[in-house]
Amino acid sequence: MPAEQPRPFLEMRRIVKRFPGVLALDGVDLDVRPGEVHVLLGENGAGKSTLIKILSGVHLPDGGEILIEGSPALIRRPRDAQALGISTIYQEFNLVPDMTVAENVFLGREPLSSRRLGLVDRRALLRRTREHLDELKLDIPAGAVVRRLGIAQQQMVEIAKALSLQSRLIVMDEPTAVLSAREIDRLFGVIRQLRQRGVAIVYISHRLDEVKVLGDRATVLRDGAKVRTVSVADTPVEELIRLMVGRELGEKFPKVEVAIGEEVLRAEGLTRRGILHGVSLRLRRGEILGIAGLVGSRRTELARALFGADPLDSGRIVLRGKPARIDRPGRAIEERMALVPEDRKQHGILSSMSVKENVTLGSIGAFSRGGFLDLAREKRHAREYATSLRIATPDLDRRVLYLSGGNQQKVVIAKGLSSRADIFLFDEPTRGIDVGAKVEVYRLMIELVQRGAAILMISSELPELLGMSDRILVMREGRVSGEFTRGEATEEAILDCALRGDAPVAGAREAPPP
Amino acid sequence: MTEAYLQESQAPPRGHPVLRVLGKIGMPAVVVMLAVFFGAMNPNFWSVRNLSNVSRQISILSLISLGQTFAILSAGIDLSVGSLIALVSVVCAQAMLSFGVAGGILAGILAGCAAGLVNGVVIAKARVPAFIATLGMLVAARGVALTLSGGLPIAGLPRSFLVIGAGYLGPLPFPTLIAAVAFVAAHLVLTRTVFGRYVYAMGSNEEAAILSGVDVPRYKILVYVVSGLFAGIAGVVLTSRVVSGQPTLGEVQELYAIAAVVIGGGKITGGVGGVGKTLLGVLVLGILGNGLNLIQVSSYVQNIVIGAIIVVAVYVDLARERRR
Amino acid sequence: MRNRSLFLVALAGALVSRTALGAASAEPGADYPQPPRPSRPYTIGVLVPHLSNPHFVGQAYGYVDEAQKLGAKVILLEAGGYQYVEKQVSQMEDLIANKVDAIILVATNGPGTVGPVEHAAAQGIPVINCNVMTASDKVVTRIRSDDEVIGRMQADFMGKALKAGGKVVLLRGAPGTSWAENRGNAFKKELAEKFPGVKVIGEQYSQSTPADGLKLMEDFMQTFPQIDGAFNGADTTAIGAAQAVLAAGKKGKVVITTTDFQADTEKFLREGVITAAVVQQTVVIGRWGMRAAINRLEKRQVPPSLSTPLLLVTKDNVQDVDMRGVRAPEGWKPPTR
Repeated sequence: MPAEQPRPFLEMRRIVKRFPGVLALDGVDLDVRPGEVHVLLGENGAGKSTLIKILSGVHLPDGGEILIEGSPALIRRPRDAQALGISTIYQEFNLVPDMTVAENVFLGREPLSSRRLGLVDRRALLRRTREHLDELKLDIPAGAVVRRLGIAQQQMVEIAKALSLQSRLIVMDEPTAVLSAREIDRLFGVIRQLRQRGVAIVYISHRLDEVKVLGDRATVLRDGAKVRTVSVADTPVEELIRLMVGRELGEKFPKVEVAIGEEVLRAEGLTRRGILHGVSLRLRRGEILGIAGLVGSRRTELARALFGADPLDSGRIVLRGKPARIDRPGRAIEERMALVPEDRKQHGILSSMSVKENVTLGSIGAFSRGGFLDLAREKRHAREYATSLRIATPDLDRRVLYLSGGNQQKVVIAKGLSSRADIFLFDEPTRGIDVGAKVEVYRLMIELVQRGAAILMISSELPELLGMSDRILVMREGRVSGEFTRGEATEEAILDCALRGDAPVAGAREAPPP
Repeated sequence: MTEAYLQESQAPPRGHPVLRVLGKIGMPAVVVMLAVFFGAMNPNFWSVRNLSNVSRQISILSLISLGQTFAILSAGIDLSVGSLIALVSVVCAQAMLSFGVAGGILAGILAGCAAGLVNGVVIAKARVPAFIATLGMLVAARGVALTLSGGLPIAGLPRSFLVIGAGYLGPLPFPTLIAAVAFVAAHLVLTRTVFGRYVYAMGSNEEAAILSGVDVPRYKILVYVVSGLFAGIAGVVLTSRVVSGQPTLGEVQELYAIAAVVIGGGKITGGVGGVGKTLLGVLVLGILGNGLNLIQVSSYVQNIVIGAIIVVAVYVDLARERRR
Repeated sequence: MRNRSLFLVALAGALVSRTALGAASAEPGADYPQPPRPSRPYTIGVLVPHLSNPHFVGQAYGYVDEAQKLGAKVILLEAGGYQYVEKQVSQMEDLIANKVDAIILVATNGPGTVGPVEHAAAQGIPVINCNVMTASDKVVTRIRSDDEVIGRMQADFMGKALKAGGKVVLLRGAPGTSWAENRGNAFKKELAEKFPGVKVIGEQYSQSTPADGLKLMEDFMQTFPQIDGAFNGADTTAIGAAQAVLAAGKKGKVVITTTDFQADTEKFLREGVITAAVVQQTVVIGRWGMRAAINRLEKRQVPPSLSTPLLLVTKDNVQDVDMRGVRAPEGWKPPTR
């Protein structure tokens, strides 16, 4: 294998980056060859984001050098990276939502029909965009407005844009985080095409199963330093995890079956016009109920409806045996329910507020006497939860903005816990957090059910659903399309149930975030 | 578990070194520097008489800036406060002529709260953006004030009422005392009450606040009532100061209130700021206005200076926050 | 009261013939003579509502030029418009804090300026009230052209011009000011008493700018199909009204009377769009204000009120007006503070 290696397209050598109080990168090396999918692995805070931000010109390194095809390159700003043939596709896309696909692909480089007048040649614009889309065998109209496209299609537009820039290396930051299984397959197809054409891919993902399927080599980072670069095919998943976390994790899913108690939540015929169609379910004490489904199957909408965040047209909710009217989240919290939302940044954390203020927001009334807060008692309470969830923060007054993704998620969970909830709605609780933090979240869920709580868990990761749930409901287009016990559930059965019939076109029916 | 708790976004600020230094020492030092500068240029600046004079002049701006602090913290804005001063002034003066001093004061403050309530309901229930809703109120409230008064000042207010605007407690003018009490009260509300916490929460992330159980519409309405309340107090004080009900009072004051909030370091998009920061903003504007008069800078040039300060203050603040 | 006013009209007429229309013999305003130069340089604060019209620029010239001759220093502050009472109040407080020797106040608003005037009086700082009156009586003297006379002179002219009767509108000027109030009221009263055939069909206050005058006159012409005359409390609105009349093709069909005489007013008067102007000698107001302040500071007697003479200017006598009492010299700019 080492004999006939192609010359690397990119070499990063001894890259150092300091932030106040933190050495983010401590002499990291990375080399990427043409036509290779090179995976960057590491827990949150390991330095992956910093490294790709240096590569794409967002950050300037404090030390080290970057070579492109063997010659030193200076990447001072994103434009420099683009000129060197490096494109980056972030989780938050860089698309203008109210412009068309073609306008986005050629934004800033529009073909002109009259250079003097600056008139855009619309026909050439559409034609050339179509060429790029065809190359990728993508069925997206070049004239479509980006806002109307699903997430997956928007991602493809980003890739088409990268191609139109003659990119030789494309960085993809967790590209599958927002995609359904079918969309992921399509993305992998496109990535393989790119690989064949000699484009190098730097791929960041927390999903090790994907890494195994797609990756050629992987570079593992830990605490800002490179641990090792390995061949993916020759390295078992357990080994990758060990390299990432620096120790054995033990069981991936620390499932403990707990005695199931009485019913605490029952939903009957929940209907919201055009969204939910007669969804019924029940949840019992000590139970983890998994909810599977493709993106657009309205699982998030179900959780929001149960929590009173979206209005219902019909149906009823029974809590602990009594009919409950939950018309706003405040009511749900009073009924000791907690929602850990899917989109942490949008719906979960209050980033400019402190850890303490986040944790106690839902239960702040409990620390108030005559309208005035007992700040000392509030702080003790917050500390209790921060400690028990092992939230890594220098102090409770730190703004949540400055915490890592995993810790932010723990803050959101602590917020739910602190209001003494015993019915939990977890919507993608481990999305975007690293392996170590995932296991902690799982352990926490087990602790909760052991203490008599009930959990409804929405997840797009089938192994997680299978590993943690006592029962799994499958949703499709706003309906419950199947139910499996822990014993009978398999990935194939669930997928089949989620796709059965006319499966939705990938992304096209994406639910807009409410 | 060795997770770095710091995200990779804490880097030194960018920008010109002078601005970086400004950013580091912050607004309190700027206030001190301004005071020292004007004191050196004109010794009268430090006279007790002038300082009590400045404190009285900024009392009105202080009051409406406090209301504006609530609005901006909650990710809203209240453009109507200047016009509300005029409305309050007219209502207060007219009511005072019929019902006496206490009746007039009460009517004025209630008028401010009522207009704030209308703002709040339109924003929270009808979901009209705060900018538009309060812009409408800016125009309409002035119209109501002009209509009620026929465009003319309302004179003949009782002598005893004038003490609010012109009285002293020791060296401290009453308007200054009123503003000081308002500052303390607003600070306590924002830092020590559930309502205050919710104001920050709404401004930081409204969606997350809703999902955390905050009854956002209710507290939003309350925010604008509070802003109206402060405009009401300001209107009453100013009415006493100009010894008459005046439908033309308060013009463009809303913009200075917004300026005070952002100069102090409040974020115009909400969630960040507070009473202390607003006080700094008010002090900068107040000291500049008075000091430039004392050293006899043309009022035209004063406008240029103040305009530049607004932009530079926000720029410095961003340079502090912006990380590379 | 009536008799006194009539006397003033007569006096004004006499002055027109003696000083203004005669050759530029005596300096305008010689009736209240310049005092001797005082022993020490005084600092005088001067507060005007704004400086964006030639009337106040002319007055400012009067203050500044006279102060120069008397060895005094002027701090000239403008509030930015009649609507900014609170700003003028603050400016006045700044002047008091700065211990000026005397304050000359052109009030933005009658009642609104009472507080600081009394404050200044209590601090022993004399206040001379010029041109626009404060409601406080704690002033040394009031110096102005008599607003009632201005209203009456316009009414008399209007009445005679519309012998057969007619319909008139009032563009009163800035709400809350003594001049807009008094001139308009006197105009209406005089018309009603002497010329019952001339009816007032509409009146409005507006900010004192040509743009506001234009808009107001356009609206009047929309509302009333026939308008024979338009009274203006100030020539700022008259200039706007003249443009509205011109644009409607009604030049010469509407008798426009006004107060004051800035360059545009003169132009429209020469063109026959504005019919008559009752002109205050604004420079004289300024000079007299400064003279009164110095007299007071030098412990000389100051009369409790002084009226500056008025000029009635029409197309026929416009060549003969002595501008030295009416406008600042060409190109002069006020030293704003």
